[in-house]
Amino acid sequence: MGFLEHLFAGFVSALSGYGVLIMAAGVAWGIVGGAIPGISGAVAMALALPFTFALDAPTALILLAGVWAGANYGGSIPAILMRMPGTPASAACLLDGYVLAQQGRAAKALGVSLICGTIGALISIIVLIALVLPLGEIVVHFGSPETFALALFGLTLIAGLSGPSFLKGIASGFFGLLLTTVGLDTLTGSMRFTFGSSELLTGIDTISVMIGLFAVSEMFYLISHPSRPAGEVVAGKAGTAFPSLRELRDVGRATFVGTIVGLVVGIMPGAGATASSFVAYNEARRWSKRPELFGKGSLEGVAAPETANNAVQGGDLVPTLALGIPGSNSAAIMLAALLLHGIMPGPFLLTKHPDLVFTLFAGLVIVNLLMIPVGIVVLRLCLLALKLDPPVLIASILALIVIGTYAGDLFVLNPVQALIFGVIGYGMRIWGFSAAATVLGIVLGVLAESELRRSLIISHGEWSIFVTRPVCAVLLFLTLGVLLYPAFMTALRHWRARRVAAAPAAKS
Amino acid sequence: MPDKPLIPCPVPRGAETSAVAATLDKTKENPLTETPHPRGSLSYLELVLGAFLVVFGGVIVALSLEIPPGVETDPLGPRFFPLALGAGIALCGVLLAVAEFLFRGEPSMAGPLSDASPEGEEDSGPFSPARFLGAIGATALYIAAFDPLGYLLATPPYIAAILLIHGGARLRTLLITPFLVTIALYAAFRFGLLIPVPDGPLEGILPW
Repeated sequence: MGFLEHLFAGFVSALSGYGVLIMAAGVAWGIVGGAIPGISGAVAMALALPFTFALDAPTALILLAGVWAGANYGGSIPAILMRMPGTPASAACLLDGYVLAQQGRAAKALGVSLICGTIGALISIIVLIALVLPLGEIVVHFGSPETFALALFGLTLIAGLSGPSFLKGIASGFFGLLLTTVGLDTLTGSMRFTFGSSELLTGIDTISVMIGLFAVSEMFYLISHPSRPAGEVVAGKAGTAFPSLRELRDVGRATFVGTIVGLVVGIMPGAGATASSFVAYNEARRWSKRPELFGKGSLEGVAAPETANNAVQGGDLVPTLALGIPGSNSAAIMLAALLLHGIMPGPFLLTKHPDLVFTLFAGLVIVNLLMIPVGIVVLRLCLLALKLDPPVLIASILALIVIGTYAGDLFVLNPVQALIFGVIGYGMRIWGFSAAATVLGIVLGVLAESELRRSLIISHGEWSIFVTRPVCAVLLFLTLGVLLYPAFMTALRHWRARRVAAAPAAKS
Repeated sequence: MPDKPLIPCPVPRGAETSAVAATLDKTKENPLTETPHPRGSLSYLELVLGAFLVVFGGVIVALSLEIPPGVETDPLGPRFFPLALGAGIALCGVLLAVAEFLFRGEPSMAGPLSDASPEGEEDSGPFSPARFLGAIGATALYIAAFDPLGYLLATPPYIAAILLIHGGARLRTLLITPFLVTIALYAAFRFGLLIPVPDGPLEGILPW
């Protein structure tokens, strides 16, 4: 089958059955979830996971893609209307969005956010498709040693990126890897860390762990750190007004800048949507014909960060689909959904399951197109959700988590695991560890161990196999570089500081 | 020509907070901008965390030694990976403590691109241990009661408990919400997703 046939089949698969309805529901939930502060895109996706139990893998993926895309836009709604970013990535949007709302142009700001975000997302999906396929061609030649080295490199890189402390990030990643060793060893049948419990023979429930680390910990955080009440909607009649062609032309440069920034930042695993939206805001201002309007109600100031925020999705999925390295929490949840459906995520996803990947491509295009009508309709629902008392929301979500994790395999141990990992996730958050790195470890763990062992079976126990193969050696060298970089930079900083301190003393 | 950036680029850690804070509310406390402890002083928390990692890693190593070792056909065997990870976690703990002694209070071991801010951080109030422990206790009790009492009987008291623990809910909310949420979730899972939710003592009484 050629590329176009695959893509066509992907669209047919995505649109079959209740496909559109499911995608629209995903987008709607994503927008509402993204609009509610405390429920980031990743949390909204984690909460949607129980609803994928009843779906096949491609439909589950496009549902989650819809939630992800929706949350990207949803965050801008309270940012523009209430000066309260729904997600961290939408914080840049409020710098001009809220000023526009104060000027009575909230609907226009929301319209620009929606349209430019959709444009950015669609372009990023085209780039995603263009990059993933050739990368997949390269990765298909990888053997077990290269695959192990790739998993190790991805883990090290993201552990270093996703937290305030590199060492804590690495420890968090190791913890995630360790969790995948619980249960029956698939190669030898030996029991590991089961402590005599038959329930643990099949291992720890990945979905419960992820929901615990992301969602339960977040709810506990919100309960134990009561925040100030939500602000008032600045514009009495909130709606969505599409930008005119002239306005679209005016924000064209900012949209272009946002798309490029979002893509580049998205492709870098772990860099995240928040960084991209702020970088895009800066860059759009730097290249704008009217930079003096930024901060005073510039539509470009809304277009650039929102485009970047949405374009990150396509960029994020490049390493996720081509290499099996999720670029963000949201991408990691997509891969976890694959595990849930018995599909091993990794660099061979495209080769082994092209139908799934092309359905996801098609689904991404459709969900982003659906975002415009759904975004308009759901706006009112978002405002209602924002008026909900926080305790009502938290209690409802916790109840949903318990029944949702139970529903996986009708096993009460799953909500127990969600609770335990909720507490662990809370602790990790408070003490500067990285839940994202742990989740990445969980996603990559099985692959990393099996490929490591397979490599040594192939080489009859010779570790030199990892350095005699060029690609593998380069990946391991890069891993070492990432590991040593923080220590090197710290030593360099200290050496410079000492030199600066010694200079005046020498003069006197 | 590009103009001078409004916010320094690339975005430094917490820049989004500082940028927004500058625009919005300079006085508000923010966990992202708080320095964990003054530079030059030793953080005992970091030392305790380092010690915890060493102990945790050590326990994992000890437990891993009980797993069968590798054989000729599988040189590493099932023991190696957890053993290496346990040792790795312990090593991270040692390095964390050593780094704390050497670099006291500096963000010294930040990763190469740790400027990227984590998702999910937001402004929040002070920590309330009672609420935290209350929420954990209520959730644990709810899970324990989930199977024997059934979903419909166990859920409303749990939701009411969380509302009370959080505080701030009006009486009307406290009386109505638990039942509304319970019924909505039950309907979604039982009739929407066709998942058999435990009915407890109500099994046989319910018409479905």
